[in-house]
Parts: sequence; structure tokens; C-alpha cells
Amino acid sequence: MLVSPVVVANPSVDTMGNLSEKFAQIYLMKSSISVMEGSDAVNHLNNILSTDIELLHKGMRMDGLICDSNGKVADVVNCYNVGQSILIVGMGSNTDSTRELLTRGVPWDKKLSLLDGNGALEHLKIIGKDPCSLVEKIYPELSKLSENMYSEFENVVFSLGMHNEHEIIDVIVRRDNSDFYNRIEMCNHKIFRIEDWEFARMTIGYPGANEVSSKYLPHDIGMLNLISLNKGCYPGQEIHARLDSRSKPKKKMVIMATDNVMEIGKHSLSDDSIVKITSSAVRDGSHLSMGICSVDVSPDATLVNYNGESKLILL
Amino acid sequence: MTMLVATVQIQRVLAVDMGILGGEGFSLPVVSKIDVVDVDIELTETAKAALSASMSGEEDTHVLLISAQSGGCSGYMYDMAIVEEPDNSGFQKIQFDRIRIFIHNKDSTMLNGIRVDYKDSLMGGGFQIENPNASKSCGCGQSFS
Repeated sequence: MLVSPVVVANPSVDTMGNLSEKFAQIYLMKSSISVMEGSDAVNHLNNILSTDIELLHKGMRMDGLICDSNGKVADVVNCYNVGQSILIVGMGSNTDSTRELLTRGVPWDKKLSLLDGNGALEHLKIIGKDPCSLVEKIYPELSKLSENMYSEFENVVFSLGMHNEHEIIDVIVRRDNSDFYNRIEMCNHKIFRIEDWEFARMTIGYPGANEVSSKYLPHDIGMLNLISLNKGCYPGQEIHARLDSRSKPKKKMVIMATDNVMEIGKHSLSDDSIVKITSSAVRDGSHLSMGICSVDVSPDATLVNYNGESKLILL
Repeated sequence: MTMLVATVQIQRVLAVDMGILGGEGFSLPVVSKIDVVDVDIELTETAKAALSASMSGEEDTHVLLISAQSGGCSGYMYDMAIVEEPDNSGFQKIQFDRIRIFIHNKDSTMLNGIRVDYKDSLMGGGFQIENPNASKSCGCGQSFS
């Protein structure tokens, strides 16, 4: 497989203060890929996930959160109904805990099996400017992608998702599918590594392993769209429902652009609030960090006691 | 108490015959880690009496099956049912006088040590389970983690 060092233009900040990448790029993910077999797989998953996937029919993709009983996000998963099995893609850092959860609560009289797809399959993400055009370039035969549905062409699964109004295309491919990798090379594109994804994901405020680690609520990390308050019980539902009815979110995720490395941890801002930096990445001298701060933070707030320039980017 | 840890790594050829998971020779390993312990449970006198009344003389053919499965606000939910003795070798059998309780091996770590009680009350009455393995239970008492 072709994996290149990063050589891409750095993102620019537009007049609205949003970061935007100049090109769409393909990133190889370190994901957990599992397959659940059995006729009751959708119902079993629906008992665990924060979204209602009861209507996940063949050809559809639905996303959800796996939360603990305190409502904290333990994993973000994409579920694909591929016929007699459900393909489940989660974060690689949470592979063991998610698989234990998926297998432990299987009813004794249901024949459900969980299979490990990591040895045979790979997960890639395409983000940046107009990722659909990049897919059309590589696979001109592919029909237009739409949300909640996936398209399969020559054993490659493509699906379109949205995060903070940015398009993200997920690709699942067999490791031995040389045609897929040849097509990318023929189009003069490269596959970037997971280290490069760290910076790229921050440009769209997409949470990573440090944010999805059973420490934060969906509200804190911008994943409110992946909880369903009218589906009934799921782990963490009591906490989410109480937050919705009796309170309001107190924290939110932000991006911090700086000209030096940001250390993980708490930092003071000029409006007397605090930002808790959860992850940080650098690309060609540009530094981006993701952090969590008060929902009332001033958009003009800058870091204090910091030797350099800093810009807060609200999501 | 004995603890058996069985880690199974076998290849499974998927049932689908086409698509990304299909095709000749394509198989994936099964993820299956089953921890099994010898189950010991407690049944209070009131629970015994209530069960005897519910089974109404069918103790020779029926059993109380206690299980745990994904669901509820805290992750797992209890299920109790009086059923005809299941034809399944995966169960552990615990006998209290004439009452037989079946717990499946796969639920043994979650249900070992539970105390089954019965409260005769119009509000919140019925069978209740206290579980020393549960770090948290939801308000209704049916879900635990």
C-alpha cells in the first residue's frame, strides 16, 4: 500500500473564522472493524447505541455512540447493514472495550457472533474540500453518495457522513484489493497516515481517541446529533435526558490555532475562562489543538501566559 | 470457586456469498472471550415461597431461568422467566429444595453472588435482585452495569 509523508497545503481561516482545507485527502484510519453476524444483530446493537438503528436495513449506514452508564462517550461507531451481517467501525483505541460490550450482553438464546475484521479490512476517511469529487475521480463508475446509505463497488464500501457541516467520506476496503490502491495512484493521490489524520480531523473539529475516552459527555465533544432522546433506554440515557430537561450544556469543543506546541491540560484564556486542551497536532509548522471550554467563552479570547499568537475557533 | 477462561479463535466463513464480506476463501476470526465461574446465588425464604406458588407443582418440568442481556440505562438488564427445562448444556443448575434455577455460563460472571428476594408490596413489589458485581444500577432496579 502507498503511504506517503504529509505534503499538503495548510488550512486557511476564512472570513467566518472557520478552518478550511484546500484539498480533499485520503487518510488511513486506525479503526476497530468488527462484523456482527446473526438475525438479531440490529436489535442487539440498538440496545447498546445512543441512536435508534432499528430501521437499519440492508444498504444503509447509521452512526451512534456507545456511552457508559454515566453518559460519557466510550466509542463512536458506524454501522453498515451488509445483508446477513452488520459491519461495525469504531475507534481503534477502544477496540477491546467495545468488543467486550458487544459480546457480553448477547442473550443466551440468540445466535450472534462477533468477527474480527481488522486483519482483512481497512478503513479510510476522505475529508477536505469537496471529498465527493475526489471519489468521483477515483471511481467514476460510482453513483452519487447520499447520507445514511452506502454504495458498494467492486468490494469497496463508500459512505457519506457529515460533521460540523463538513462532508466526510468513509471507505471500507479489503486489504488485498490492489485495484483500489492502483486507482488512487493512477489519479496521483496518496494515502496519508493516521498521524496526519490527527491534524486533519482538528480542522473540522472531529473528536479523536483523547476525546472519546469515557471522559466527556456527547454535549462536550460536539456529538449531540448522535443521541436520540425518544428511542428509550440505552446506557447513559438517564444522564442525557436529565441534561436535556433540567439543564443546559456547560462545555463545548473548540479548536485552538497557535504558532507553538500546546501542552495537553488546562490553559487560561483572556476572558478569565479556562480551555482544557485534549489533543494537539502539528503540520508544516502550523499547530492545531482541540480543547473543551465553557459555552460562554468569548470568540475573541486568546491564551494568556503564552509566548506566541493564538486564535480560538468556535465550532 | 474455579475460574475458567476460554479464549476461542476460530475462523468463520461468512454466510453472505457476495460483497465486501463474501467470496471464496474469505473468512474472519471469531471474537469470543468467555469467562466462566461457578455460580453461587442466594434465594430468600420469601422468594422461595413466591416461586413455589408461581410454579404451582411444575417444579419437576420447569425451572427459573435468570439471565442478563444488553439494555437499559446502565448497560445490562436482568431477565427472569419460568420456562420448561431448556435443552442446552451451557447452563449451571442451582437447586433450592424442589426449585431449580438455571444460569447460562455466559452470564456467570455477571450473576455470580446475586441475592434474589421477593417483596410483597403493591408499589415496587415483586422479585428483586441484589448484585454484588454491579457498580451501578438504574432507578427501576432492572438495569445494572
